[in-house]
Amino acid sequence: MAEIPKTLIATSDPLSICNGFALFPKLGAFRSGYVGTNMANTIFSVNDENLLLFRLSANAKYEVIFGLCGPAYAVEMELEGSTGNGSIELAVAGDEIQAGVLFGFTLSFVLGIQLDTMKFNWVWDGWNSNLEPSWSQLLNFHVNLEVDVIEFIYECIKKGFEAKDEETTFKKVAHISNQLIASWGMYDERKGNFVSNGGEMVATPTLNIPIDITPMIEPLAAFNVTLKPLFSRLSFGPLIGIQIPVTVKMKSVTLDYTKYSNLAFAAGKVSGTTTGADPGDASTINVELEHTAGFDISFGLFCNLNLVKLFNIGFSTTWPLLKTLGIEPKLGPYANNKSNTVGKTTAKACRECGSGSPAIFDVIFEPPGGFAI
Amino acid sequence: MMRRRDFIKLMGGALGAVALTSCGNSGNSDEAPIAPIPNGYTFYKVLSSGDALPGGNTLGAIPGTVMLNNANEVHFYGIDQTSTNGFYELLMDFNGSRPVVAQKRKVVREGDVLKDSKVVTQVNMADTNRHGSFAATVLTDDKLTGLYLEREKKGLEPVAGFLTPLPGGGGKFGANFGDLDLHDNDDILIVSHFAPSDTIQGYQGLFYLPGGEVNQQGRIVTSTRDQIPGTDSSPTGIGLVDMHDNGNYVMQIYGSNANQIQQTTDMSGANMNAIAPSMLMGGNVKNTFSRALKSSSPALKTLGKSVFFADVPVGAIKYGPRIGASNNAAFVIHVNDNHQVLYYSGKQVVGVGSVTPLGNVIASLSAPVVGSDGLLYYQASTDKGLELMVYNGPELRTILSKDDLVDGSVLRSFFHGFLPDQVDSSGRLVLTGDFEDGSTSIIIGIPI
Repeated sequence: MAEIPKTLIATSDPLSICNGFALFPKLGAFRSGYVGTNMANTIFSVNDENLLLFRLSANAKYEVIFGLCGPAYAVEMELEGSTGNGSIELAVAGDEIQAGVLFGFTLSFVLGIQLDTMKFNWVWDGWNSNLEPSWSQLLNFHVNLEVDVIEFIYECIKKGFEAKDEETTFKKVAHISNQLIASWGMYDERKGNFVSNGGEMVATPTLNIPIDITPMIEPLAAFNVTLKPLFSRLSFGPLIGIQIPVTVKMKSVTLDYTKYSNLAFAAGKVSGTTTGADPGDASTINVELEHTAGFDISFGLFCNLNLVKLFNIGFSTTWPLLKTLGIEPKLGPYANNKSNTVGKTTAKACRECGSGSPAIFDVIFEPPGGFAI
Repeated sequence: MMRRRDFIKLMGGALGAVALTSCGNSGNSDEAPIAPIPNGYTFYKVLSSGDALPGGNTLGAIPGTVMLNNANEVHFYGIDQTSTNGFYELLMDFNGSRPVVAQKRKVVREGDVLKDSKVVTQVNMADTNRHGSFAATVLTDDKLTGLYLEREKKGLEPVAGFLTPLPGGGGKFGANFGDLDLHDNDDILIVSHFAPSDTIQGYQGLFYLPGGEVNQQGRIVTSTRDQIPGTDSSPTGIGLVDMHDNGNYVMQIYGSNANQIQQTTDMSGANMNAIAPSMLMGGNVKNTFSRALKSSSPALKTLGKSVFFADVPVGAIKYGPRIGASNNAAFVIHVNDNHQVLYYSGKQVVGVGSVTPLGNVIASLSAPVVGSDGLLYYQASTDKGLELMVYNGPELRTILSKDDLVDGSVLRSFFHGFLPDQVDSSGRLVLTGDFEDGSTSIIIGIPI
């Protein structure tokens, strides 16, 4: 019989997805900065478009910088118990899992619109008197902005998660890339239900909110104010979709070199058995976790300009990133191990967990039919 | 020598404006007429800039957004002396010698507090029907847009907004509502982005909401998840829509992906314009399989699909399409940047470069309006100013033109066709006009 004093098993302290287990370990630095050449384009460009009494010139372009940290999960729990007669029993306390991504979505947007209206003037010239049409400028608007899209839709995203009655956390986090204006975290956080859930933690952070952000970005809102007298409107917004279902299970506990498996969970405790020798007063405890994951991500934009119900031009594009880049995430299961010195109640950030330190990387996505590493 | 038309114009100076329809013959004379064209129209000013608005404000400007329903109501978007925008309603009395405004009412104005306690920031799209109901997409102080409906003059009530479950379930509305159309029984056709529950990708859909409610009877008519009929690609957006009371609809759709952005070039080969390919699609809201393309895009041709669209015009759809009875669609095709052609019921009516019944060369066309009797109204800009014309197949006639007199004032320019509902079932027209004296008025034309 040996006692195991309270020991913290954690991917980092405090928990951070960027120091967690990569959901797709063989993808390595999947949480990478991404600057895609396909993510810059013309939305529309019309010059001197003749619309009865109006003449419209409008140009709109965009560029998107997208950064990602994750998808990953971070986990922590305090274990305390004893071993003896080929078995182990550990009380589990303070268990918490976070699963999701940290990301940023910086948008550069250039918009120029000039609207002229035709006026007819009577030119007096005796028998040759005639009407001469001329153009008079009604509207001339230019805007060049760079915004953190998420900042503007933050409240809407929060409402979306509240409506789903899910435990997804969405908040601003430390920068994952200097190229981004800001970084955001979207993850599910589950606390204190690890044992009651049979040693399994499930998180399903999902985001899918098509939203017009023109009322939220001052220059674009101002543009729509100028369009009001024409009963016209510009609408523009991101199409962001992220889904990261992940299930984490505890598979085994190892004290020094003795592995306990056949784990059972009841009454706030985890217990297991071993055919190996009793380790006695062990110095190291290791917990083997196993996760399966799904992941899909989609980014896009829409833009629409209408003049009353007379005229409308629209555009939208989406980048189903995984499909476009030929990525086929393998769902697992993947095994992960986290160890600590028995009795230690602090933990270092897990550099070896596969998530690494947040930084801009080149894209390292899984090519079709094989892995990049 | 004074022509008969000129004489009538002068008479109109004293008696409102009576415009005799010009004796045009530009139509296809071998056809049976859809309906006879009236002998003429009398045009009257019914409300002008400077007139009082309900609530003690004064009408400053009317941008051209004016509608007429079959309940003798004019709805218009007006700007008051404080530059605040609002929708107003005029109940018309057509029983006398001239139309009279019997009652004015504010429908909704920026700053109003709605029944859901939100404050109106901007009215984006609006429509009315023969019951006098009024539907609008409204931007509110929470910076979100929602769909609202007023029944029996009892104020706007929310119908759908951000995160409202879709009719029939399966997802939620996003926060971008587009064009809408309100019809009999308060049935609403609305374009909106939505988030399906079975995928992470957001889409844009055309939703049919019978009775103006989001419930199990409603449905997604079509969306950017569907394929463009006859092709293997999906639209990426939905623009302006129009629906007839029988459920037939037409709508603008945009091309399949960013790589299909059409670019035109000038003589030197430099890119001039870049715009997503646009097409016209039609169908019936009660029959999902009725979807069909009514115009095609050169971008679709490049996909080798032209065989499917040999019998529909090719070009861009930039104007709002319109639809009448018998599924007769009216729409303008932008063949190129400078050439527009008006189609109605599958036939070419007129194009840029054509000559109007008054002998003027058309430089540009507006979106058309289809009357309940099938008459087609459209406005053209010519080298001599504006003309409003009516077409019934065999005949094409001008019914209003620049310099016509309306209630004694010389008409400088006018706007008709900005909205589909600008003709009522009695053939009365509503439009806005700018006059030589600097005033702007809502004008009603009554057939004689």
